[in-house]
Amino acid sequence: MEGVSLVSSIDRRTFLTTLKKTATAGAVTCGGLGVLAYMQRNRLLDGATLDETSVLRPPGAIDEERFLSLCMRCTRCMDACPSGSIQLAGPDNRAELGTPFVAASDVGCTLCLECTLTCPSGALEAVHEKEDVRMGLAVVDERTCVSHNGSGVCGACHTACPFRNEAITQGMRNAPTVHEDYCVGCGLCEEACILKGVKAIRVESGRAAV
Amino acid sequence: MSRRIQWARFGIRFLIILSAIVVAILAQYRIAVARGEFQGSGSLTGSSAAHAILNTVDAALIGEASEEMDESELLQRREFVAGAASKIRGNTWSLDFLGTSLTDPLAGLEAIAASKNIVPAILIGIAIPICIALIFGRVFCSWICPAGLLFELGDWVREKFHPKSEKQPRLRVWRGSKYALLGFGLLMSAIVGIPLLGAIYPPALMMREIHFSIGSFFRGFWQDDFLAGALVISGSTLFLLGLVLVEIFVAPRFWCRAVCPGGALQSLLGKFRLVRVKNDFSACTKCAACVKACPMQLDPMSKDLGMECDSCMLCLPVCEAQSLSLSFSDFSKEAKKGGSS
Repeated sequence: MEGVSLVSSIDRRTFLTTLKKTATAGAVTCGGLGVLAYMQRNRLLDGATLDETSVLRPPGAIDEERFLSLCMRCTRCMDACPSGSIQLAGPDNRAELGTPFVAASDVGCTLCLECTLTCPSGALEAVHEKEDVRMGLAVVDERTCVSHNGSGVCGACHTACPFRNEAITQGMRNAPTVHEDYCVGCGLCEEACILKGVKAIRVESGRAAV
Repeated sequence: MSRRIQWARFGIRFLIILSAIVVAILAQYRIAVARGEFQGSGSLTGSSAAHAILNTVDAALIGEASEEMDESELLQRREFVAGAASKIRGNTWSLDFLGTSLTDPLAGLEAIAASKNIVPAILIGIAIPICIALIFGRVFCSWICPAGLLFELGDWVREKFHPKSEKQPRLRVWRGSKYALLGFGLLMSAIVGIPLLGAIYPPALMMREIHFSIGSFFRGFWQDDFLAGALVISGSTLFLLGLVLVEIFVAPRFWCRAVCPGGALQSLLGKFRLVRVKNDFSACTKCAACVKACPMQLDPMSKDLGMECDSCMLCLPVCEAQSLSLSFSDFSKEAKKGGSS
């Protein structure tokens, strides 16, 4: 009965224009969001954000797929970072727009762990001990490292490492060796590396979270 | 009184935008202190805008005392100031204010939908904003939303450049589309596994853009690469600009009324709110001044204001009979009426 009274109270023209407006507005909003979703999905499936060439996430970051679903892109971790090593991904970075990453070749993470305490959504899980952080793993390129290829004696990465003689040990001519069990992936070695441009020791991400 | 309320509304949102800028600049000051850029009592030597900004911040925070203190004392003081400055983190999307977590309900809901599990930290963050919305309704839109301030400046521009046209160009829109967008957006976020609505929600976009622009400007400065520090005109900035143009030339609060998913969520939360603008029908002279004044194009004169009203209180001063007032509704009485409002 209510349906009948509804139809009779609206004349045909009003009903049709309302229907048309509704359909247009719905189609436009849903279509736009669909395109956005499709683009995001492609980026994710592309693998650009998932393989080891992706960016280094701040300490405590959970695995990449869950990180992308929980991170609110709110800039809180960036504001908490005292050394300015957390940056927001812009259009020219390989990560999702607005997500935080550590550009280790620029500034490494000092492991103050403030960011893990301020994250509002658990995308960065609280880590209490520096040793428990697993942001990534430092990898030495023996062809470009001056201590390894014999062109000099350096040891800058060893000096910068917060877990000296555990995560990085030195061999002949201070040639560094990284030990997976102790390396937290903070990137201070990458920052310290004396090579300009592409560093000889680089932190690769994609390591499982603690 | 009502004039003062409008100034307060303007002031709060202006302060929010200003604080986003200040927080971003203080973050850069903190980086400068951590890098040891400030040596002794001296300021940074250099003539770029970044140097000038950091020197101004340093002078303002450390003050004249820098002449008398020795170097270690000065460093300590700078580190203290930098540490204190980092106690306010984030923005309206999610804020860490002296350890209290405040998160936009939309941000929390989206993250829960995308990750498909309920994280306690998110619930703690959205608790206070949800309580505010339950009591006062959609007040986020009129008192906090920085994009709303942008839209109100659009009002001012419209009046300035089209003085002869009708003060409020009226365009009827279907208000339901924003609820559809909210639902559809949450559904899509859950399917894709990435929060999507944050990418089109103006206040979140605006605050992130402010942060990002200042950050990239200074990053270019730190890296001696000024090209990288050039002002980023990103898609989001153009999107916000487009919204302001729509606001000026198409219809006031078009976004807020028809599209905004955050506004839709706030409206839903505030459906049974306790504090709302009410018309005393016995005193009302039916002059319809309030209908003309309402930027959300509601009708405070003949109907009780429903969930769409954002309590901006622009209708209160224009009411000559003073029949409109902000009232605290007795919830039990409302329930007895059987939801007739």
